[in-house]
Amino acid sequence: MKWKAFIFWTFVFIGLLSFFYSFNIYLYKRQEELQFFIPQWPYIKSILWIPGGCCTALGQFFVQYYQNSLFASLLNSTLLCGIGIFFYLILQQIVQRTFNYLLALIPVLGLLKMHLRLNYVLDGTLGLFLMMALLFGFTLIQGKRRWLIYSVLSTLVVYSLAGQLVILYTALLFIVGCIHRFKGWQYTLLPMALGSILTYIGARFSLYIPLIEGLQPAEYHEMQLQPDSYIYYVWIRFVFVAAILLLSGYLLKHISWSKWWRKSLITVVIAIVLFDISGMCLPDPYDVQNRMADRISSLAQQKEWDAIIRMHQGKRITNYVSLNFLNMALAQKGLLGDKLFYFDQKGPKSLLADWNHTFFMSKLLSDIHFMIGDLSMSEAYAMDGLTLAKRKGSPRMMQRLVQINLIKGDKNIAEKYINLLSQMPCYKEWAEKYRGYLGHPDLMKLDNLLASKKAADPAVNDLLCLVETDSLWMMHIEETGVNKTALEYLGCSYLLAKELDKFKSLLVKIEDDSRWQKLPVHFQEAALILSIKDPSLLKSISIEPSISERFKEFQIHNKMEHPDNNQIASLYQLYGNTFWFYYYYKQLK
Amino acid sequence: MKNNCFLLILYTLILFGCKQELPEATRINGVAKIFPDYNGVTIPPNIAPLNFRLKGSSEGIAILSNKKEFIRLDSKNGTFEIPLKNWRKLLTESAGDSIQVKLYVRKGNQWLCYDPFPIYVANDPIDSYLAYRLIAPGYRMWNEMGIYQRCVEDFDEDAVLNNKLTNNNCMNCHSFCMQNPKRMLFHQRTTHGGTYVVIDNKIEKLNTKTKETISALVYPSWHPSGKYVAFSTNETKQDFHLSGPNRVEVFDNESDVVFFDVEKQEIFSNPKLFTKGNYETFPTFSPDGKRLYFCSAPAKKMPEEFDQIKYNLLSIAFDPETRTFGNVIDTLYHADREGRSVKFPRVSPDGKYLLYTLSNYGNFSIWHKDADLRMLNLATQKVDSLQKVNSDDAESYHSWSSNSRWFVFSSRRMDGLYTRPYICYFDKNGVAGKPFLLPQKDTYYYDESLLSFNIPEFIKGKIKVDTNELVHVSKTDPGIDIPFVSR
Repeated sequence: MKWKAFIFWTFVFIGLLSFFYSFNIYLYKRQEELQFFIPQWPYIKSILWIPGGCCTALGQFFVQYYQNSLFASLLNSTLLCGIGIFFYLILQQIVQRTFNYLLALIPVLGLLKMHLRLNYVLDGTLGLFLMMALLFGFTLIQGKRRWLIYSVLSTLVVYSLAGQLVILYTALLFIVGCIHRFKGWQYTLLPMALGSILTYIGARFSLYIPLIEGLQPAEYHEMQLQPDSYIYYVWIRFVFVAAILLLSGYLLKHISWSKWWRKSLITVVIAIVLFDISGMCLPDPYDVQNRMADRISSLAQQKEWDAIIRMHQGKRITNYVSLNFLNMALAQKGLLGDKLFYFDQKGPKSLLADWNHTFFMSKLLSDIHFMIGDLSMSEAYAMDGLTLAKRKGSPRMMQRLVQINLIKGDKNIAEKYINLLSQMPCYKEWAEKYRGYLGHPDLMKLDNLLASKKAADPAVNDLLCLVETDSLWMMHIEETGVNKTALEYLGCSYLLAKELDKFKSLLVKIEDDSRWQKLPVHFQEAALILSIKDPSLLKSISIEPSISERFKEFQIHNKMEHPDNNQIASLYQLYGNTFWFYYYYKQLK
Repeated sequence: MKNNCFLLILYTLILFGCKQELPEATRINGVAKIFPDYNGVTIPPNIAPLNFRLKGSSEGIAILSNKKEFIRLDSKNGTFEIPLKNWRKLLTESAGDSIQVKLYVRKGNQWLCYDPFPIYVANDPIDSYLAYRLIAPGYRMWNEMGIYQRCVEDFDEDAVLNNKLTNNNCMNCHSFCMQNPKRMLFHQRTTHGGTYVVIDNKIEKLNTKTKETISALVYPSWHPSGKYVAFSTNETKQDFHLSGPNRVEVFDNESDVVFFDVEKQEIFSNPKLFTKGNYETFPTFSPDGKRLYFCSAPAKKMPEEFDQIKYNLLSIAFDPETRTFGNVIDTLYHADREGRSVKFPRVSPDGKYLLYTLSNYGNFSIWHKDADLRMLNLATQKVDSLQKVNSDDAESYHSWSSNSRWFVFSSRRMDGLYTRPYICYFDKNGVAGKPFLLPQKDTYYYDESLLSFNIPEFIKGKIKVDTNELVHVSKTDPGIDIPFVSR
């Protein structure tokens, strides 16, 4: 019968792997960028010293390689599958039934749900894996004396490696002891007492948190969702479910298994329960939305601008974050001013969404401002992102800070971050490349990314609250060099806000500047609208004949005073990708 | 000559006494570069081992010696961790004298021997604990932070309170009455907001925002009697610089100085310290409790004139028996005339000197690279620019040890962003020594830490308040509403 189990769990493993590799790969990358972990012994030693620190260290050790999605998926699948297998084997020790396959999948599904969440850290599953392995070992021990020694030793092992999980482990030991070995069950009281004492010591004297806090729901611990804080809420739920399943297995043991209809009925009922639970454990709309955001973020990190643009083509865009990424991608391709209105824009926040004090937005806004050349703003967001990263820092934000500080000439702080990144396996190569710029800043001129950026003129110092964003971008345009991105962002911000007076001032300012002789398409479109009131504007601005012609046609179609929805829809079909349509028909909230 | 003979005898003893001989080495003029830089610093006789490393990882041998004792350290990677017991013995023997540090460094197949450098050991001990807040130098956000106490005689560091226990709120402005750990206060902000006064382990949570004051109580200074605490109240804003060396600007839109009567549990002030036309802040009492020093700047249009606001250093008499103030305000530093701005005045416990921070403008000096420390001799009114103490980067907050022989200050000289604590000797003649970085067990600690040391304060012993109790009070106690009284 073992081959059946092998085949079953192989299928489960493949299923998990396929799921994680298709759904979770972007989440893994985000989890990796939210931790600062140096895989060096002195650093690890300081973590291991704390009870539960092993799970913390091991969890972070694995997560540092999460940029490799296949590795991350394999690891997560192995852990979940392993937990399922141990649970199955424990159930088999209680009673050998086919439905144990199904029962063992229930906690796996519960953990699957947790693994979809950014806030959940791998340490939790590692602790559970350890616990289930030792619990299974317990069921194999024969003899009361060995039983007792094993349970006490394993309690100490769980405490040292997984901290406060020990109390839950000893609770399960007690349950399994009672169920599996009814005679002598009282021997499990000793490890339970030991586990309680150790947990009390840990919670009361080391962590200073009231014991009741362990029972608070996950949201209460939002910033503390790590096992070393207290007692991971996920652990409590897992053990609670495990206890119910173990007791269920024990109770079902007393039901005769000889009648086929009884077998079928029980199996079907369990299958239905499993099916219901699986519905709750699979990704919900919140997870899908997060995945979308993670995917875009990942594409942006890899500079897959075309992919981001393609993702949004022909689609209704419902949130500013997506628009920010899309417009950043357009700007990176030099197409922002030409293709902005090919997409469903929603006002000036389509370029810069509001900062919501999260790591995600800090990172996005830092990237956008860096791209435009607002180094101070970019640095501010990057520093906030570094602070907000859940696990002591973010290598991704550190990279940004290295770049900014090198450009500004702050070599000492750049070197600090480079030294830290060089100790992280996935950033070592990048760090060494940038280390070369410390000693030879002239090499930065050969770096495509850094060469185009420059620190603001110290003579023009002011506080950012006293400088409007458009003034800031205007400064970039007026600097030497060609900062097309700044021009596009500035012009497009006016167009999105329908502030044509300001846009006109911009045109007047740059009309004699040879760098901006060929204006982007939407700028020309806006100039044509302005020329209705001020025809002289067109004397100094070059408009492509095709755009002029199209505008004339638009004006003919646009003669309706109060067009109905059908008429607007028709206009949209013809001119939806122009500023004209946006200006006349887009409602700004 | 006498010293050289001693050293010669000592090295000879080392040569014959050691189980391992010293390598044959090429003599190099000059001292080896180490981190932290302990060359020529003056240290107390009860400081933790000054672990250090060579700049550049290489095999090395360090000999630390005085006339009688020596410690030999061999290192494969250039990091030297001094055993505590041996170090304490060496320090005890070296009090009032110096320790010579001689380094042998392996470069390839060759050993190089550098000139020894001295570490001077004062007779005056230092307060055994240092309290500080550890916080990321984030601009607007914070994450994990806590108030910690570190035993400076070894490497033990404990959290007095970490915000993981208090729902990730903000905590700051820990302050001690005459370096007494049994009489302290600090604030918590946002969640569990209030001022927490801890006296002999009894914790009181105070709600200190009144309608008469700008804000809840901010920068504290205990009266030496423990009966009063001077505070500022501030409306503080923060923003970023477009360019220039300073990243961030923190400024007050208004501020006043008020006083908390610990026994009567009420807030009072004086019209001279509570004006609309000036920003009064950073109050501090003299050690005899009869004088209040504070900073004040004429109000400006903020934030437009952020770089024009300059704080004077003033003082006024105070009668603790009657809670009354003098009529005359003395000016110790005239900002308009001198051209710069004062903050953080702190009088030495012996009442002889006043240490303050000076920068080109403003009041939040940790973000000003030009910020430096200055020492005012209160008797002669002479100002020492402390050239040996200051650096090219920001030196800012500081505090005295209880014997007035040491002060600790915050500095960003290492990398320009992360604040580190430096300790400086100040002898009875008013001469400051070369400061040294607070030693850590791991010589890479400061390189890898992403947290700044904030508000370093010496304390005479360990804070023993029950953290469980602190958390409990934070979360459950509604706090005592403190009224503002006009007199």
